[in-house]
Amino acid sequence: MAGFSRLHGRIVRALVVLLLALTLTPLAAPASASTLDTVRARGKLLCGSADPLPGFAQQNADGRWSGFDVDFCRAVAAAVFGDPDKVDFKPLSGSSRFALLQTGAVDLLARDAAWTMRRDSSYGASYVGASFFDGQGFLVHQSLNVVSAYELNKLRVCVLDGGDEVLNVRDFFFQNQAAYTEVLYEDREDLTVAYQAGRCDAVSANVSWLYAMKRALPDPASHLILPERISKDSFGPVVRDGDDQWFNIVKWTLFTLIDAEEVGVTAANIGSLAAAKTPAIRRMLGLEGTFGGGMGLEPDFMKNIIAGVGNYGEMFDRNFGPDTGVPLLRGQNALWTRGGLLFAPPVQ
Amino acid sequence: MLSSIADGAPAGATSLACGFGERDGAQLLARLLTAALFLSLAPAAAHADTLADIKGRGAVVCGTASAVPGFSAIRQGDAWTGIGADYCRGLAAVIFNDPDKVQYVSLQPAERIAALTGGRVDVLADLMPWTLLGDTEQGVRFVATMFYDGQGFLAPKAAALRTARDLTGKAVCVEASSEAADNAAEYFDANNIGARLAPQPTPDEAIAAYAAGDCAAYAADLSVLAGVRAKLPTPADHVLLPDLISKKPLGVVVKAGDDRWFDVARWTVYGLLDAEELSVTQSNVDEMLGSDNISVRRLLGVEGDFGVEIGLNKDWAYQLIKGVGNYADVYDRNVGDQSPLKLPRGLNALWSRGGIQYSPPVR
Repeated sequence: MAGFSRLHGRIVRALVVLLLALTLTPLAAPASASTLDTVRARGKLLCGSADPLPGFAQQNADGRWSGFDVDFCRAVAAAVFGDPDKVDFKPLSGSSRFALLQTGAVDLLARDAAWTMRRDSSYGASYVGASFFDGQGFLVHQSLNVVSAYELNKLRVCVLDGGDEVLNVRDFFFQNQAAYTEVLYEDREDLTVAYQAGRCDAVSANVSWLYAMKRALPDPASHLILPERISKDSFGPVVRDGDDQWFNIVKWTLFTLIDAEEVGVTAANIGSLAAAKTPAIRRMLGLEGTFGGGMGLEPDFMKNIIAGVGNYGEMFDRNFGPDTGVPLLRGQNALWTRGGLLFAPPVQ
Repeated sequence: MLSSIADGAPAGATSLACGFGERDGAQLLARLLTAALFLSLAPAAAHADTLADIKGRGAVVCGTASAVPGFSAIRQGDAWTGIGADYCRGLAAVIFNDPDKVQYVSLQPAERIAALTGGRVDVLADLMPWTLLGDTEQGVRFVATMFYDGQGFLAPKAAALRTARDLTGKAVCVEASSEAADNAAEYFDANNIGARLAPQPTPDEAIAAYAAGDCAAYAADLSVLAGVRAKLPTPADHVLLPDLISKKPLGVVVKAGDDRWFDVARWTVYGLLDAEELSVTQSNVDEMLGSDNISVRRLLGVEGDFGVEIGLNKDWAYQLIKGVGNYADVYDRNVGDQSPLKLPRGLNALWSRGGIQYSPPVR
C-alpha cells in the first residue's frame, strides 16, 4: 500500500504538471498565435494522418513517405514555403489524433476518419472540405465472376464487427432479398488474413481501405472492387479551431488542386503557360489579380502548389493511376464537369 | 488514455470535481486529461459566442441587402420568403424550436459585410458568390453552397434551340462590360460558336431587347434568368438552354472567428441535405420519428445526442425539418416547381440523383 501511495503521489504530481501544460498550451500557441507564423518560424509543416494505408500514405525502404495524403501535405508546404519538401509527415496511430492536433503537435491532419457531425463539431477541430469521396463497397475474387454487388447471393461476407459497416451490409442484403453469411472480425488484419485464406468470398468496407487491402494482396489483379457504394463517406483535411487564416490556407490548397484540374493547369504544362490568355489560368498563375494576401500567402502560392505536386487529377493518377499497377477509378472523385462530385469555388 | 477523449463526447467540467484519493491511476489519468482537454478548448470559444448572444436576445438577426426573388429574403406581407429567409428560419428553428424567432435588418449592399463582421447581424440572408477573395479577405466564412449557380441562356421556346451551339449566326443580348459578357465571349470563342453578342447598357435594356425579339437569347446567371423569365408576359414561352458556361456557387456567410457558430450554421445546411437524402420531409417528419433506419434516427435525435456539443438540442434537425422542411422542400418552394421561377434541380440535385449537393452524415 505504501508503495502504491508513493507511486500514486508521483502520478498525481506528474498529472498536475501535464494538466497545466495541456491547459496552457493552446492559450500560448494555437489559440492566440497564428499557425502560419508558427509553421514559418519552424521552417517546416508538421502533417499528421491516420495509420499508413497503401496509396494514401506509405513509407519506402529509405524512410521516405509517399501517397495521396502525403501529397496533400506537400501541397500545403508548397503554398506556405514555395517548397513541397518542407514537411514532416507523421502517421498517428489510434484515436489520439485530434488531441495531438489540438495541442499543436501537428498543424493539420491530412486524413482522419470519415467526415461526420461528431468529428466536425467536437474535439475543437473542423474539416475544411472533402478531398476524397469514399463509401462502403465490396471486394471479391475475380473467380467469383460477378461485376455488381446486386449479384452477390448465398456467399460469405467478411466485415468488421461493432460498427456501421455490419449494419450497412445487413441493410443492403435485406433490401435486395439476397442471402449471405456474415463473417465478423474485430480488426482489419485478421479480416485480411481470413479473406486471403478463403474464409469468406467477399469483404465489405470503405473503398479506400478495400483498395489499400487489394494493393497489398499477392495478386491484386485477381481481385475486384465492385462499383456499388452502400454508404456515404468522405474524407478531408482537418485543422484545429480558432485560426481562420489557417483554415482558409488548407481549404484553398484543396480548392486550388481541384480548380487547377478544371482549368487544365498541370505540373507538366505550368512552365509554358506564361502567355496563356484564359483569365482563369492567368489568375491561377498569379499573372492577373492578386490572390492569397488575405491568408498571408504570396500571390504565386497556387503556382507553387501545382508546380510542387500537380493538380488533383495528377495527384490522383500518381497514387492510384495505372502506373501503380492497381488502378482505382475516379468515380465520385472525378470533377463535377465529368460526372463526379469534386467542385471548388472559383479563383476570383 | 486519450482515446477515450477522442472517441467519446468531451466530458463536462464535472470531471474536475472528482477527488484524487480513491481512484486508480489509469482512471485518474483519463479524467485529468479529459479535464485538461476540456479546459484547453474553452478559451477559444470565449472570444466570440454568437450562439450565446442569440439565445440571450431571443432571436436570430438576419441581414439582407439584395432582393433577388427566390434567393434572398423578400418581404411579402408579414412573411419573408426566399432560400435565404428559409435558412434564417431554419437557424431559428434549430436554436429556439421556433422558425419565427428571426429579426430582419435591411442593409445596403455596401454595408452588409461590415454589419456581419461588426456583430450587427448574425448571418446574411443574401446568397453570395463564393470566391477566393470573398472567402479570404473580408473576415467572413462561407458556410456551404446553398445554390450552384452559373451562367446560362434564356431563349424563346418557339425557336427550338437545343444547346448554345444552335446560337451560331444569331444575336445574344447581354449587359455591356459585364462578367456575363466576358464569359459569353470567352465561351463562344473557345467552342467556335459563331454567335454575335449584342451588348446593352443596362440589364433592363438587355431584357427589353430580348423581349422585343431583337436577340435569339439573353445571357446571364441562371438565378437571374429565372427571375427575368417569371416577369415576361408568358413565362412558359421561354426556356433555359441546358448549357452552363460558368460556375458560381452561392452560399450564406457568417463572421469569422467563431467556430461554434460556424458549426451551427454549417450543420443547419447539412441537416437540410441529409433530410432530403433520407426522405425526411416537412410533411412526414413526425411519422419518421418512428423509423427503423439508423441514419434517420440519428438525424432526428431519436438515437444519440448529436448537436448537443455545439449548443443545440439533440432534436435540432427534427425542429429544422418541422420548421422549414428539407432542402428539396426549401428549393421547390422558393426557386423550383412550386415557385414562379421553375428552376430545374440541375447541379443542385443530390449527389445520389445526378447533382452535386452533398453533405457529411449526422453520425
